[in-house]
Amino acid sequence: MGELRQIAIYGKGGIGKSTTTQNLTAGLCEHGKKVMVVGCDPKADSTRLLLGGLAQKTVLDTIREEGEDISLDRIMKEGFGGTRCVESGGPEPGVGCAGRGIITSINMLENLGAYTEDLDYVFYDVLGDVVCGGFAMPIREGKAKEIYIVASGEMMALYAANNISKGIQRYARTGGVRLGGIICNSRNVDRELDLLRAFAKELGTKLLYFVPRDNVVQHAEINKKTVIEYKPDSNQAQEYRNLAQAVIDNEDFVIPTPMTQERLEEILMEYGMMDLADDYKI
Amino acid sequence: MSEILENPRGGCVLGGINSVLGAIDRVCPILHSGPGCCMQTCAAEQGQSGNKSSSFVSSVSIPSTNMLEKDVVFGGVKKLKTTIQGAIDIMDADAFFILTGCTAGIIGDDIVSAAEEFREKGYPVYPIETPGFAGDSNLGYEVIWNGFIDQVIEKNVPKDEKLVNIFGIVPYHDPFWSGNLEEIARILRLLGLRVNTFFTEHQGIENIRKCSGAALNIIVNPWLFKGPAEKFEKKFGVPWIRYPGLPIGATDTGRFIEVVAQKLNLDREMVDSVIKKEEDYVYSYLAQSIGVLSWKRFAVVGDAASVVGITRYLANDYSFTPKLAIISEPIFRTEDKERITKELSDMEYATPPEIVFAADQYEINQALYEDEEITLIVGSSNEREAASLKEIQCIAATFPLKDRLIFNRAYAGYRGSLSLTEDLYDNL
Repeated sequence: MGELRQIAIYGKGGIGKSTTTQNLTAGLCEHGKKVMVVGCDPKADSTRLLLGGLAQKTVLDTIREEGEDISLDRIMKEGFGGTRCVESGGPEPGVGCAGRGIITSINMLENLGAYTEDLDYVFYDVLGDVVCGGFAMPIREGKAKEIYIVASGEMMALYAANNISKGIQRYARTGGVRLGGIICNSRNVDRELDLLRAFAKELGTKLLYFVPRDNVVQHAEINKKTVIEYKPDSNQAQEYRNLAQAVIDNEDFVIPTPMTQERLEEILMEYGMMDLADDYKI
Repeated sequence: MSEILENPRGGCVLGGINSVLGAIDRVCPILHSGPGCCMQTCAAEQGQSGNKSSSFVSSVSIPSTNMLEKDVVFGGVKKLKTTIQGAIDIMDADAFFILTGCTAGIIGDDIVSAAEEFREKGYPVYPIETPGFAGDSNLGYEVIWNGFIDQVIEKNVPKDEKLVNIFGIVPYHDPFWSGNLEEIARILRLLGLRVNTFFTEHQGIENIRKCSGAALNIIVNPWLFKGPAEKFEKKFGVPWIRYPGLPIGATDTGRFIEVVAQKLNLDREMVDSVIKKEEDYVYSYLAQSIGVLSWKRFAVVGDAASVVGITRYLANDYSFTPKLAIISEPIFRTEDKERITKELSDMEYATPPEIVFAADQYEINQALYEDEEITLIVGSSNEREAASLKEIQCIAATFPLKDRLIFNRAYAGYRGSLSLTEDLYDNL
């Protein structure tokens, strides 16, 4: 058993962070790794595929209803392949502070002894953009040391990825947090692979893996399963296993070099996205 | 201004709001804030103001939600509602004001709806939605008055042509507020007027509710209250005048009376007779101590109203030589700085003093050290150190005032000028 690797997954809302994280987790489980997934999103849907549904009461709901004197098994459920699943949850929409809620949840997990020595990986699946200090919690205070950003060839996804890199750069100066790479969750945009490679290079990192688009992912989601559980023999299941292997093997951790808005747009132009905008057809 | 402020004079917005609420009889603030804000906001103002503080509620007796982590994450409105209910059950107050601390402000708790719930049940509960971090206690004074204008002061109150409202003397931020308001009210009453000071003589929320019936708003301050005065006029049609400083002594108090009299078209003969009588009262005493105190070159340090008032009195009426005037408030509008500068420059006989705008104690001390001619400092308790190092006389007469007990002592007006003069002899 090696050292615990704590990994945070960031990316634009709706890009497929939760899906990618859970399928990646399933892949790691097949490699015999012991994994904990901590959902850091008030929507609390980061462990649905591992648990076979929204079977989990969130940390914050539990604290709200039962107070702070709770046991670990009330907030941690075991999912596919022995993964430990936790949902941080959040306040009701429009009240309180979800960002602080994440800090509260992670502190609670630590106090309850969730970070056991047999763990190989902890994944933090964080919502959307890094809007405030609370959502940067997993990369602060020496929690997650490794970040992967899920992106696609769409402009807003890259824009968000660049912004997230600014957050990482900020905390990299004082903490040990590093960017491990970009994971492309393909949207079948033209020249997506080239664009993502160029974008990653500009950020000073690499495209860790290109996950192709495949409808089996959606089928698996409807069945509340990861692809690896739902169709273990499919090509897509193998893609996720490869992604897991890429994460295991990855040794390139960098302080990202986020770009200006102008430079980002230049790269998009270079790879033809701007020209194509007018011809966009559904 | 330097980025780090040594010895800031006063606290946050809540400090200013609490000072006002603390000075109004029988009103109760409710703080929706973290633990400690009640005490700190009172300590920063009332705690440094002549050892007098609000006796209805103040400091640790102010109801507070004492928000903790759980309230931050899930929102603290539920806790706020139980705190409001608790305050209503226990405090026999005429009105309750919900104030937002920084925490509640950051997470955006909806205190307006919470207050509304209680208002619908007939309780006088008003939300003041300005978190502590919005600014300093001077802003707090304006914020709470804006809150009164928006929520408390009634429309369609019958006009009283003899009623005036006094603004600009900030309770506790001026340690002599009680006495100053009493003296100014006394003088205005001699002119046949009725006076809302709001903070003395057990005036309370009812005076505030009905103050839209006044004929005139009188701001006794060179820079505060511009926004609220304009808002007040727009909403209730009450005009306003600004007397740009604290009127101290015969010269300036006469000038103050003239400004009010002109605006309200008061009877000339009556006004002249009041001025004559009051001047006689003051001069008859001054005549008895001529030559007792040797001539001084002086510096005044403090809030703009006090610095203007004291400097002008000592120069115009007492023939001391003004050397240095240090305004310790963060005055941000150029027009206000110009008005203050004009008041300090445009004097009867004296050459104007050097005028310094500095809120930082280090800068204030430097200015005092650099002037080698001054032999008297009229300042706050904070200036005692500089005076002692310079081995010159020091009168603690402006905020913060920690080493004197001030009940109703006044420096304003005719009689106040006699007290100020007495204090000049206090520690020779």
